[in-house]
Amino acid sequence: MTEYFLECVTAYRIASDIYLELGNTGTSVQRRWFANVAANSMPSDLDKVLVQNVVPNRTLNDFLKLRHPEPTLTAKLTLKNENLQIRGSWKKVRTKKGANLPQRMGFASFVWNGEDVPCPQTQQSFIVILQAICTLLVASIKMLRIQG
Amino acid sequence: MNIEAAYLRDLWRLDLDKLEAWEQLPSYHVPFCGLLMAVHANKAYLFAGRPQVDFFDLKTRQWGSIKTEFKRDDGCAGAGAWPYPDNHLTDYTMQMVDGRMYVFGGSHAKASLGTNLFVVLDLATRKWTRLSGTVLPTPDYSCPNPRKWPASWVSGGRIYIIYGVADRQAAQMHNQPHAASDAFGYSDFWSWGLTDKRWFREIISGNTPCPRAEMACTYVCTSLFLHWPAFLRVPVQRTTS
Repeated sequence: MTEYFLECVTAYRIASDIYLELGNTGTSVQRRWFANVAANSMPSDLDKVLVQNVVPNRTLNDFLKLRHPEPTLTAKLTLKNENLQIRGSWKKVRTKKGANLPQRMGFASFVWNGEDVPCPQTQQSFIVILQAICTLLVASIKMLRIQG
Repeated sequence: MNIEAAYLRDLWRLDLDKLEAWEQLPSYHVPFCGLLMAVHANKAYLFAGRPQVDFFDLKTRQWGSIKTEFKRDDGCAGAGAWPYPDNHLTDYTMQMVDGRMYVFGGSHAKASLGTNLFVVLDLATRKWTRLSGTVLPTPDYSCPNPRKWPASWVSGGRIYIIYGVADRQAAQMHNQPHAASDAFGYSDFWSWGLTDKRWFREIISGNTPCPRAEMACTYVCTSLFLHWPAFLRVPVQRTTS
């Protein structure tokens, strides 16, 4: 049984290292966390120390502290494998007349190609968005207003 | 102050070609959280877990609703019992395919952990059919297990479902079964065949996104985009993948 845990935890550790090399910090942390949980949850009659040495608990926090993406790693990220790494980039979209939509989360959204769009050639025209809930931040603002 | 007092019910529209300003449309009649909308025949349907399904007519810009009923499991005539306790469901995933609205998972008053009930509404007949799963959380290895906030998309005659969370903390808070002090984040990936009506456990390979829940998800030209792990939780109980 110790061998079973050793194989599992080693596989998680290797996967975690590979994902970290690829810049996929999120999955790297998840695999590492699974490895440590598995090692720490072993039955007491097995060689727990042997397995824990593969994923020392003292280094777990180094993974848990990572952000996604991790700013200190982003600048160093290099292309290791074209098929495995993220392609494309983000661009922030701003409405021309400024943000007039209250902040929220947990909302419903959808894209609809309306037939009454002025430019039928460009089909992506209509987004009707949003219902719903505002954030705790907004809730706290409302509370402050009531108190004020 | 009740947090629900902070919920919104407003509806907005943005023209993606012009990207000018958000335009406010008629609001929904009650505030809500964790519901989804799906479009068919110029109507955006909003499912809240009750037999009355509301919609926003995108042509007339008016809210309306339809009355639906559940088909009996035994095939007999007449309406079956409505499955969702208190006529309430949130945090589910929903897809519209050819006038059929598919709803999977979510949480309700008796399943804070999440449910794995998978149902479909035929908008032509206004009748719901149970496809798989149960209203209350029950382990079943032939289909995705109970969860909240999975992501889903449709491609090639299949509905895909990925990740999500079994909210064991919420179950503990409400003194319900399968409770624990932490949530369990799923790392699995399933597809439902619209023709053969069966689940298939898919394999994720390559540089995979971290398991997560309550994420934004869109499917464009054979590529899936997941973003915003607002509910990212690393499971601490046991290894499953």
